[in-house]
Amino acid sequence: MPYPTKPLECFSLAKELRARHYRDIMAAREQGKLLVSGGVVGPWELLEGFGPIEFFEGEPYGAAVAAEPELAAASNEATDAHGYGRDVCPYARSYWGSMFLNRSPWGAFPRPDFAVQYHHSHCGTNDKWFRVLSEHLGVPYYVMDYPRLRPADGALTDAQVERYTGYLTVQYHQFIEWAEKVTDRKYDDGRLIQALVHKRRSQQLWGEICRMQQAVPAPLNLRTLYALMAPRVSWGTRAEGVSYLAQLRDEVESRVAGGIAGQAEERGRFLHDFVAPYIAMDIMKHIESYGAALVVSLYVCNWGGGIQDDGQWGLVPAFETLGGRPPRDREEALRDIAHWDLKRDCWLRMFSCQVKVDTAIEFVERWKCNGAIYHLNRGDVGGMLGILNARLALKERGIPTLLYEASATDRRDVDIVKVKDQIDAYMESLGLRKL
Amino acid sequence: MDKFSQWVRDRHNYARGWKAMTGGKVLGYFCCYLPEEIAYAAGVLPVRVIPGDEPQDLSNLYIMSFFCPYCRNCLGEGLKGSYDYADGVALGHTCVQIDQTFESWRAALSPSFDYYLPVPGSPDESGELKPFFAAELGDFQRAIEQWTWRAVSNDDLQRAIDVYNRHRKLLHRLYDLRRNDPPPLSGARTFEIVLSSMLVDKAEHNMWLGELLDSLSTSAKRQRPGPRVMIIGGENHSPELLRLIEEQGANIVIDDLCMGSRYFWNEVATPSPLMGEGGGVSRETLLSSIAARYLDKPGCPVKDVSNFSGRPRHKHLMELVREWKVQGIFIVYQKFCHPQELDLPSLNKLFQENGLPTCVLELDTTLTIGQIKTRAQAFLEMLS
Repeated sequence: MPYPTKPLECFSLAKELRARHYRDIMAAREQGKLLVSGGVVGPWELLEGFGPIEFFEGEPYGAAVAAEPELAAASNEATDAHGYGRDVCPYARSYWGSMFLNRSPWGAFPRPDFAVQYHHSHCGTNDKWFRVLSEHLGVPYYVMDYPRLRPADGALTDAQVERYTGYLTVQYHQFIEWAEKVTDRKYDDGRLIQALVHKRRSQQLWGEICRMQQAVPAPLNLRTLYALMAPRVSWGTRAEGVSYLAQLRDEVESRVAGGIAGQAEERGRFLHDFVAPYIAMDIMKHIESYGAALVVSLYVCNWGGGIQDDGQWGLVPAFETLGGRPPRDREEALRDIAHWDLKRDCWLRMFSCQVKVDTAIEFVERWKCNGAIYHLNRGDVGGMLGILNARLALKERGIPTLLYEASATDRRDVDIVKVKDQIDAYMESLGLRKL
Repeated sequence: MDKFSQWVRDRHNYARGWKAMTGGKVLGYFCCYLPEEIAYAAGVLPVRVIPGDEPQDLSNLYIMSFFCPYCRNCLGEGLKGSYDYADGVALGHTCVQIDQTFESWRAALSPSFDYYLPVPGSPDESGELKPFFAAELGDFQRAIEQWTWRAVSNDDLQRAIDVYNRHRKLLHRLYDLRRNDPPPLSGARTFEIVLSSMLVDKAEHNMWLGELLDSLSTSAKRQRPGPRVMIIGGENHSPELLRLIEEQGANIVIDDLCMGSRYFWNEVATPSPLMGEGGGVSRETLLSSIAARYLDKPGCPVKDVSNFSGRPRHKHLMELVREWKVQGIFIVYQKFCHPQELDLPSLNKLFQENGLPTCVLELDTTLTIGQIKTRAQAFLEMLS
C-alpha cells in the first residue's frame, strides 16, 4: 500500500534562498560587500564580523557547476589542460575549471577579495585548492591549521581539549588581525556573536530535521534533502537561514504526524553515503525505482547536530563552555568555536575511520535501514576515508552493502550502465523488484 | 652486496635479530614526521614501514583502488605478516591516505601499541605551533614510556638526539660529496644508504656510514660524466628507480624525496645546558627543540603551507638546484597521490621559468621498467 505524499511547501523557499545566495555573490562587489572564498568546512561565522559579506564556498559551487552539464564538462577539461590530475577532488576540479574559463553558471567567475581555508581538517587538497585560486587570480590567502586528531578512541582528555582550544583560538585571533589589514575593515564582535548564535541554532534545527527521517515512512527522500541542505550551508549563520530551517522543521514535523512520505513506496530503507553523485542524479532515481527509500546520510547529517561524548551523532546543546548562554565577547566566542570544532563538529570529527564505522552502525540501526549504499566518489579521499571499514563493520552485522564508483562532478567518471547493473543486482538480492 | 644494500634487502631479518638480541620493542612507523628520537630514547627500534615490490590484493578490503599504491601496499605488507615483529605502529600525521593505512592496520592487526601524533600542517610562522607540538611530543613520550615500562630521562633523550643529529651530519657529508662533478657515488647508492638508515639502529648505521665516508674521501673513484639531475617527489622506496634513470646516462646529484633528503635535512638544535634549571637541559627545552626540527624541516606538499611566503618548498628546491648545479629534474609521484599531483603544475611552471627541463614519472606498485627507461633516455638526450 503506497504512502500518502504531497509537495513540500518549503521547497520553493529553499530554491529561492539558493538562487539568492549566488545572486548576492555575483553582485557582492557592486553592493559593497566583501566576497570571500574558501572550503565549506570551517568556522566561517568568523567572517560575518567583517561586516556585509558573502562567503563563496568551494564545494557547493563545485556542485552548482556540476548541475550545468555543458559548463561541467568544459570546466573539467580546462582543469585537465592546466595540468591537474583527473583523480583529484572533483569539487576542486569543477571550481578551478570554472575559474580558468572565467565562466560560472551566472556569468563571469566571481573574483573574491580574499580566500581562507581550514587546512588539515579533512583532505590533503584543502590548502592547495585555494592556493591555486590565490595564485591564479592574485588574491590574498590565509590558512588556519586545524590539528588533525584521531578521535578513534573516544573523548579527548581535558588537557588536550584545553591545548587544542588555545591553539585554535590564537589562530582565529591572528586571522582576524590579518584580514582586518587586508580588507581595511574593523572587526565587529557583535556581528560575530550574532552569526555564531545563528549557526548553533541552524545546526540544531537541521539536526532535528535529519532525526525526523527516522520515522516510517520517512517524511523526505534524500534527493530532496540534498536540495534543502543548500540554504543550511549558505545561510546557516544568518537570521534568514534560521527562519527557513524553523519553517522546514515545522513542516517536516507535521508530515511525520500526518504520515506523509517523501516517496509513495518505501519497500526498503537505506543509508546512502558519501557525497551525492550530483552529476548523475539518475543513479539515485534508479535506486528509488525499486521502492527503495534513501533516508539518511552522514554527509547530510553532518550539517546538523554534533558528535556526542559517546561518539554517537546527536543533538548537542550549544555553548557548552558557557553553560548554555551565548558568548559576551570575542574571546568567549572564539573559544567556544574552537571547543565545538574540536569536540562536536561532525564534519571535522568524521574524517576518521572509527567515526565512519560508528555512525554507519548507528544510522542503520536508528534510521531502521535494510542496507547501506556507498558512492565511491573518485578523488574524494577525505570523504572515502573509512568507508570500507564501515562496510566491513556492517557486513559483520549482516547488513547488505553496495559500493558503486562514480563522481560528484565529472560525468566522464560515471559508467552509468555498470552502476545501474550493480544497483539491479543489489536490489534483486534483497528481493526488491522494479515498481 | 654491501652492508647498506643488505640491510634494505634483509630488513625484516635485521629487525627480528635486533629484537632477539636486545629484547627491545620495534615500532613500525609511516612517513617521516614521527620524531623517532623519542622512541629511540626509550630503547625502541623505529622501523619505517615500506611496501613490498609485488602486487597484492590483501589491502583491497580496507583501502580503495583509487588510493595511492604506496599506502595500499604498506598495509598489504602488514596483512601479509611481513612486519609481524613490529610490536607497535605510529604515525605523525601527513596525508589522509596514509591515515587510512594506519587506521586499517590498527583495526586489522591490533598491535599492542599504536599512536597517532597530530603534526601541524604549516611551518611555525606565528610562534604558536612549536609549544603546541612540543606538548604533543610530551604526550607521545609518556605513551612510549607506558608502553615500554621505561622512564625516559633527559639524558636518554639528549643521547637519542645526539645519535640522530650525528646521523644527519653524516648524511649531509655524503650529499656534499655529490656536489663534485662527476660525483663519487651514484644517486641510487645514496638513496639506498638513506633508506637503510630508516630500517636499522641509527648508532650502528652511523658507524658504517662513517667508515664509508672515510673510504670515499680517500678514493679517486668517480661516476662517469653525465647530466646532473635532481629527483623530487613523494614516497618511493625503490633504489631501482634511481638506478634505471642513472643507467640511461644521468647522475642524480640531489633529491627532495620523502625517503631522501627530506628525511634528514635539518638537525635538532642542541639546547644550551644553561636553558634548564640546575644546569641541565629541561625536558620542555628538549621537546621544544625536537618540535622545532620537525616543523622547520623542508616540507612535503601537505606541509608546504605559508601565510606569508607563498610556497616555501619552491625556495628550497631552487636552493638545491643552485647548490648542486642541477641541469634537469625528474618529478616522481605515486599514482593517486593528491598532495604531489596538486603541486605538479606549479612545479612545472617554477622549473620552466628557471630554464630547467622536467620529466614527470608516475609510479605504481611495480616499476614499469621499459617506460621509465624510454622516457629517461629521451629526457637525457634532450639535456645532452
